Amino acid sequence: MGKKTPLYEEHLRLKAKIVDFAGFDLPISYTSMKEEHNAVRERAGIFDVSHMGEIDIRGSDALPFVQYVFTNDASRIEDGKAFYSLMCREDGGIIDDVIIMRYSSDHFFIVVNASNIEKDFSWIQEHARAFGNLKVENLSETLSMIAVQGPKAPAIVQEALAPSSMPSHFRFTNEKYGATEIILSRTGYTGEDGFEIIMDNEKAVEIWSLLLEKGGEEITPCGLGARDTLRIEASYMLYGNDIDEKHTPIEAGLSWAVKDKDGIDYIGKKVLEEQKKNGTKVRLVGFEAVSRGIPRHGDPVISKDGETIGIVTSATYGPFLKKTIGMAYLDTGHIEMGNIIGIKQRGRQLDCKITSLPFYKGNK
Amino acid sequence: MAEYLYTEDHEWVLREENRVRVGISDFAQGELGDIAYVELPEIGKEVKKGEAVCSIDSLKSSSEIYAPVSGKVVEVNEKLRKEENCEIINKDPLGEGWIFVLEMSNPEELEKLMSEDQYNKMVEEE
Repeated sequence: MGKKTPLYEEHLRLKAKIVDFAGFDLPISYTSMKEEHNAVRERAGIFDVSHMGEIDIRGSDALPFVQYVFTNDASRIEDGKAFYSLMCREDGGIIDDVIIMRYSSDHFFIVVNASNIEKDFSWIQEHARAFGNLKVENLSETLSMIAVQGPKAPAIVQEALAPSSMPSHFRFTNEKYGATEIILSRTGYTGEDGFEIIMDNEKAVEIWSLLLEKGGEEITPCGLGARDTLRIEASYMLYGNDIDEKHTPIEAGLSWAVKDKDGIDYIGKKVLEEQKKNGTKVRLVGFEAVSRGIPRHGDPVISKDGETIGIVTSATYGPFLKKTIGMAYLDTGHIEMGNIIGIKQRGRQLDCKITSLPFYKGNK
Repeated sequence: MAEYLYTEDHEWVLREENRVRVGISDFAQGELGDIAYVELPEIGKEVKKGEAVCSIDSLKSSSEIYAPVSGKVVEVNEKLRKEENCEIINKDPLGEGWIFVLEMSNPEELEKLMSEDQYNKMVEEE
């Protein structure tokens, strides 16, 4: 028995199939992963992502702290904007990938992966000590998060929440909701336009029901299964699958989120700058299956000569793209677009072609 | 009336004289979720009871289908060669979603399989 989100009873009512994910009992699907996936691409899906963690950072040292602990450049982000960033170890290994919302130079709000909440918060607390005016707070236990994703998401959110202003892509606003406030962020993990809505736990059922009611036929409850196939089509990383402490952002193809920041120091800088300049031994690539069959996380990748040259991090049949796609770390010397690689599984070998990422460019 | 028999690996068989039609149970399709590919066996392939005959890939996992009895593959569900048709296993696992037909070499092996009631009991206990 894992932790339950405030929406657990709603999932049971909708006859969801429940699985354990990062210690939480969450729906993997309600009806069919394929139908839920395509509902998001064509109309809209609603997801309970309350397992995600939230860490609040305030104080006059908030900006220098965020600049030091995360790899992206928070000084160039406007207030009211959200951005993707990484938290790395000194050796460049990825501790977590996060979305940072910038309220102002003295207030940031960070959305972290469920599996990393404790680890991230201790890392943040540990490094916060060196900064004078800083208050860090782990709000994960008190906040819930609902994602509404897909081309119909803006109309549904407008109808259900009637926000005073509609944030544009990668922006967020705080909106009054009864006596409380919610965060309405135009972000997501599906490759579609959509929102992530953060609220007090007590409001989760009410907002979930309201979105379902206003969405009517246009909105489909979606589980973790569709969330995974959607993010693979959009080529977003899943912590623990595609990225981890053994790999750096440069190896994962995330150099765009590692910035020079006018020469200031940040954790991991030395290794990351060196890798940006000289390249890495391995790199994350995309592939498309030529054979019929689906590679799985951890399957070895072999060259034509049978030499092991990498490992699969994620793969699925893409229900919208209608082909099997995935990502793998490959030895850099073997990376050439269009090359055929073998993926070894018990009793069979699947031929795949190296392709560029993302697979699905989306409608954002 | 024809009667479905089941294996512990969640295959069903339906006897048609000296042949059996084989598929996966409703429970199995539910557990696998949306099926994306079925790698069909070659016609004429000889298999022993319990040997892997072919593989099936769903969005969630890959698994093998084992021979419920020994015999020779004499027919396969050609519809399953097309990815878009594989969902018939999810929609009608005991009918349209059959996978292959075996000509039995030892029909007595059928006696070892479970009845529908026995199978349902096993699944409930899992």
